[in-house]
Amino acid sequence: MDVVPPVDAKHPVERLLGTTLDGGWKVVERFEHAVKDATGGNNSVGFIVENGEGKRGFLKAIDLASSNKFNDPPSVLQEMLSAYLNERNICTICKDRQMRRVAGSIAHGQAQVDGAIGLEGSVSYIIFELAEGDIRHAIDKLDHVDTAWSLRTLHDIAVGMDQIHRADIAHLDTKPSNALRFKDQGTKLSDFGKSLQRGRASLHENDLIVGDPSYAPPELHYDYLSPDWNERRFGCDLWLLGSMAVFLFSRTTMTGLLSSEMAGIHHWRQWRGGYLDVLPYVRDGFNRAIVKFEPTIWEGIRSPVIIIIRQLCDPDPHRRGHPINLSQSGGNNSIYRFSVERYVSQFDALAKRCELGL
Amino acid sequence: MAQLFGDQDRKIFPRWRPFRETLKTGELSSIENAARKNTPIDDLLRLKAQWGKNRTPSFAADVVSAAVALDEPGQAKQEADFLLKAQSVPLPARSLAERILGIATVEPALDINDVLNAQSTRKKIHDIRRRLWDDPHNVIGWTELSFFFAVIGVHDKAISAMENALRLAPHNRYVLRSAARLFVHINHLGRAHELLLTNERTRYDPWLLAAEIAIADARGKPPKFAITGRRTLNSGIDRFHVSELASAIGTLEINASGSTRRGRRFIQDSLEKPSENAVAQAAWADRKFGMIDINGTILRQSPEAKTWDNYMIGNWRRALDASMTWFRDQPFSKHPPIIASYLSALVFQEYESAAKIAGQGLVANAGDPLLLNNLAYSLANQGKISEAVTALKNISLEGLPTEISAPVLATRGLIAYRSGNAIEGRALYMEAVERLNGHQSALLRANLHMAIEELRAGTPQANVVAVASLGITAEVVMPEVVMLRERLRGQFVESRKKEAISDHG
Repeated sequence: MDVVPPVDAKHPVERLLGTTLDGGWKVVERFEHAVKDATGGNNSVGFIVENGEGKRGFLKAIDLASSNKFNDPPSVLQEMLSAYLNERNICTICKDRQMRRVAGSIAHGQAQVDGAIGLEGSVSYIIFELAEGDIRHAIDKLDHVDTAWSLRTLHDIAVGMDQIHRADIAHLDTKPSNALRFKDQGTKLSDFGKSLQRGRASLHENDLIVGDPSYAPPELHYDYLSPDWNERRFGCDLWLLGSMAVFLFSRTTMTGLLSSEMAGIHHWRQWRGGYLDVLPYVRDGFNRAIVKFEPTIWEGIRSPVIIIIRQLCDPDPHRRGHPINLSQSGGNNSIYRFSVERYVSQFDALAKRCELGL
Repeated sequence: MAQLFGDQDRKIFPRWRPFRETLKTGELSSIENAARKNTPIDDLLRLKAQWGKNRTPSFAADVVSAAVALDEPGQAKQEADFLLKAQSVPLPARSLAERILGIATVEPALDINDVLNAQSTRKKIHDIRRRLWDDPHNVIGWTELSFFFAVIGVHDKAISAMENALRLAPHNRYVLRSAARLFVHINHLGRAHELLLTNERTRYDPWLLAAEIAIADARGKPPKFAITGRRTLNSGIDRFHVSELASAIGTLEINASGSTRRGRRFIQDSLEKPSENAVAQAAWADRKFGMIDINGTILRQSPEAKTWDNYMIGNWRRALDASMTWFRDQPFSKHPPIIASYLSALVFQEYESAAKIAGQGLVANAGDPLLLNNLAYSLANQGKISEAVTALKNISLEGLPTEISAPVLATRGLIAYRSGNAIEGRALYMEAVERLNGHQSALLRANLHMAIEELRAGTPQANVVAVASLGITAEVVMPEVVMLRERLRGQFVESRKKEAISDHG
């Protein structure tokens, strides 16, 4: 969830406030935090909506009229619509499959606001479950972040990732701000604005880094894009999951830690050779990062957690993932090769161990 | 007699250092022009906006981490400052915040200063093995493991570790150059050469081209990539990346074609933006063939060049200091401990220290006759005669070149003198002197050494030998000869004084 700039009151999207949408959802207030839209811009606006039963939701409205602000409005409009449709499609899949660890959509639709006609008055929206905040809010509210809480949170995120992967969807933007906390429900994976579904055309299909670059795996920073969809997209998700573990224990990300351990001449902003050439140096930086990070984990579970992070964040995308999956997939990049199912079980077992004080 | 014949021949073999040390040299950067790549920071700005509304450690840490990831430290100063003042912030997050504010301390991965301490080297090996246990694909770990095994002279394990590194990263420059240097070190020149000849990367990488040419030259074989190397020199690559290549081609020109003039030109070109190794090679070429223009600032980049430069002008203390720096830089090489133990023993008469240096050199170079010789010389001068005898016991002179056999004979002569057997001592020294025919400086030094031992032993011939030695060296200006001559003169004067007192008594 992100902060959006103030919206021009003349914009139709702003006029949603106070209107009632299909399904009886009433737009009751502007939401200070809104989801950035899938085009990577700030062309969406957030509102709180409420239905007749007092259930509240988060509405993400796409400001189609804002396409007029750009030099080439038709192509921006096309981009915005395509991104909206992609997100809506993915949300629908998640909803249909009843993914319990995904902050899914409740409804979506099109509204025509008063005082504007045609495209000018047309607002596309998606309504999501309303969260209490993301894991950063939760961490800051806790007296102390205990290991069991971190592992349970990781388990929840891993379940969410496993669920979408089973639907051939790669999240690609898993980060603290997209791991939302829900009252009595734990953590759910959210924001599918940058997600891709295998086999379905998308705006970002050919992008190197689809999600937030500050969390992206190193191979993408070095312009290495695997020709295999599973490896480049599910491989990226594995890295992001490992990086979430790093954040929960150390408030840093693996990308940040790795960057800090790389020599200037080998850093992705400097290096001009291929990824295979720089990989030994990246791996050295990675190992140094692990050494720095290791002590933040409670000794009782340090070893298995470090092993998991090493597997999820292996700098070599060909080696990333669980070794059993790697060996059993026989070298081909089937979806099984990138499955997070084993990590779901491992995080669950580790969380239980800590919860029971074993 | 501790002996040194100078660096008769030198090839620009790759330097081999631990990874972090190699990084500092710049030779592991990419050959392609390195303009800084732009990464969009829109997402980072969004994180900053979130932090603006949630001034808590988690939000600040998220910004700091993103700024470090994107190498945009200027974007997270405020957040980093906040994080450092906040309570209960995990260490890695603090460390990134310190980095943003420029207060992070850079710790070297391996402390190279105690690399000459075998115990500490064994500890490093232990640590690296543990790292490799955690990540067996750590190429740098395997290469460093090989390095430290080479430093303690465990060659089979050094080879095995290097083979693992080569299997994991067969085309990596650091691994290939390190491997080539290892095989040169253990006299597997053929293996070193083959490694570079058969590697597809060699023809594109000036650092590997330089190594191939130097190793082929050392083997007396025509390099496969000499023409490619010449073409690469003019391909617009940054001059630093081709400095060793120019140097290798220059050395080849001199050795193979006998063209000193052309060779000098290439070597001079190598100094435009030289590596440390290229400086050492140019300084060697200048000592041997002259006419290479090396300014003092460039020369001081290389401890090897500094050692020889100071040695040539008799600046002994600086030569010794530089040789120890060189030794720490290349702790598996025999050349630095040979000159360091020589200077320490012969010039400074610090025999304990000289024995220690020679001993350290022998760890990586077990059985090296010159190091054993310098060790024996230092031990004998400490009165440890039986240890000195043991040190030389296994050296067979058969087949050894004069540069090695003569000093060993002379040291055996010294041991004989110190054991009270002047006749045998004299005979051994004389045999050494005979072998040194044609090596003027060494021959004169052997003469002076023998005269010193004669005086020390108080033999009837002592005065005659001393006068003769002083006579034949009177006009010589070579610093080592001058230094030894003055030592002999001092002893001779002392001895005459004692004789006079005893005559009067």
